[in-house]
Amino acid sequence: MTLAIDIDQLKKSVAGMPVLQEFALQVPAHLSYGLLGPARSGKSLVLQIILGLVRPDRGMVTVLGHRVTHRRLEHVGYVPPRQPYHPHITGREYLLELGAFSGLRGALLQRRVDDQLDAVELADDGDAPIFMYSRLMLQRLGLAQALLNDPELMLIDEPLGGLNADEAAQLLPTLQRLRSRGITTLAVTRAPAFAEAFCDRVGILTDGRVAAEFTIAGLHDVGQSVTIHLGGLPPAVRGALRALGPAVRCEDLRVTIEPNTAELQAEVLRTLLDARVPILSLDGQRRPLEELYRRVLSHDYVPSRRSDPRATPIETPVEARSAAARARRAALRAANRGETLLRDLIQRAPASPPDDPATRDQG
Amino acid sequence: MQPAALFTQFTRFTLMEYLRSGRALIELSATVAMFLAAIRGRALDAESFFANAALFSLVLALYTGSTIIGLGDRPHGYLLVIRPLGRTGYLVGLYSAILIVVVVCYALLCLLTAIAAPVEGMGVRGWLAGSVPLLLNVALLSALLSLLAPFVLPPAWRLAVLALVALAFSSSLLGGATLQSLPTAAVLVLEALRTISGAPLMPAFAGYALSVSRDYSGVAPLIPLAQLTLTTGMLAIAVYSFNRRDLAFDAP
Repeated sequence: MTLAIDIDQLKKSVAGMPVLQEFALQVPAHLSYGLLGPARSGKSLVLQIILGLVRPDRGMVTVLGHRVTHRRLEHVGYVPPRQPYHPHITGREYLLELGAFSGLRGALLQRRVDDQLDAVELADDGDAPIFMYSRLMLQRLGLAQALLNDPELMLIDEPLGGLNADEAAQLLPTLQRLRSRGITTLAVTRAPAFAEAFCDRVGILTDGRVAAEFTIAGLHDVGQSVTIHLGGLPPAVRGALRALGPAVRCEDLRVTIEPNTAELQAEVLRTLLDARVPILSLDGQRRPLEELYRRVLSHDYVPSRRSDPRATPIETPVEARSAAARARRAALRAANRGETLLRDLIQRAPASPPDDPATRDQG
Repeated sequence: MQPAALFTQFTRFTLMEYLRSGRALIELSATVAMFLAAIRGRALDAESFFANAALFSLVLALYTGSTIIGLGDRPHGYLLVIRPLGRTGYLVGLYSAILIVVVVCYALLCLLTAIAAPVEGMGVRGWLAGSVPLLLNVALLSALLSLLAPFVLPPAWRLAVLALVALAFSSSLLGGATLQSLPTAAVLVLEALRTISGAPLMPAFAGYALSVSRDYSGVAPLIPLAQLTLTTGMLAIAVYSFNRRDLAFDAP
């Protein structure tokens, strides 16, 4: 397995305060890695050390097979956290200048700039001055400049930082296309949802080190769960549900199935419908990474590569990517199966409005 | 791409952004205002012209230097640092941009003077004799500003350099009645410090005097050499320090 980034025993203090301690990170080539952590945890600092902008106090950093000293790196693209860039020039001029700084010239430079503007969906706005750009456009411009020199490795700092939900949803497909190019990416973020949607593997940074690491494929394979919200839950039904197994958890007005399987979900739904319990909604898969993230930050999670199936070791990158894709498809199918089954059962079951007093009495 | 070509390209890029931002209008307006207020209609001799122009150029260098250094002190500027331009090219490019703006304004002032208010008895040789030390002082001040840039020297070192400069300029203070009341030992220490810290500024003061007098007799021809040496030394320290600084930044 070729490593695009190999960091070991990294230590860095800022203004006398230790930020990174015994930090280690390995990112295999062609993989999309997410470094997830709260604000001020040192995520950006890791990128700045890789880029040679910041010197580590101690430790070894190897990028694309070369030791990082205090010098520039070739074949590395960097997307900083959202920047205003140079507001008085146009996006296209900016890319032309930066491409020239990377040694590109003439027709090749023009073509590369046009290609990247297309790739980040800025082709129509390339000739507008940057001060007219929206937050989303600035982020797209940041991506374009990083792609100019055809990088083997992309370092992305808070890709969705400062964007609202709509803007983030628009940028995500652009980012995901990077994955299809086979570029190794290391994205640092505070957003578990982004890490889950974009990355193959995620490390959670806290207390100056990567405290836990997960493959997204592993998370989706096993960690999914379903919550059924109810109009009421009679004690008898509660007992029947508990009898289905430890994966079924009953609370006042909801039943959680974790880990979820289509079979167990069907059993639970049948039990509820047979007892005429009003079902208000069925929430599909939760975001297990978000939960794990919270647990790691609150020191409530002890990583165990052997026992925790979510912390599966990664295979070769291509296998990992396809495994992640398979897992996403399987999760989608499972969720669809659950919803289809629910609709089917509801159609077959006698009508029982959620606010039916008779039903309420049963609870 | 050669380092010189990269550095030239970066200087051009910085100037392009500076011009488009409209900031250069301030320098142009100041130059025209200086001409109208202090030169036109006053029938200045060469000494007075260079005395005024030298001070004006230094004030302009202070403003332009602060503004362009501010432009360089932005995280997206570091996107250039990590490209083949590197840190040295980045800092020297900013420095060159400052120089170019001030030299162009000085040239404009001279042109306006030559056209609208010619200085009596000053030919090209006289103009060059006064302009060389004057512009070397601009280069020296620009190098000092580059050294004092927030991304070059850490705050403590910047304060120390500023304190030394302040001490060097404090001759009236040290000669004042207030300080006469200090113990003799303290006055001696302060005077020694002033002499030490003032030594690097000698070429600047001498350069100003040479610009006004244009008298190159005796050891005076060494003054521009001293100015050049001090400028190069200061710039070298700035480059060395910048190459060792951590350029850490957070999301805006």
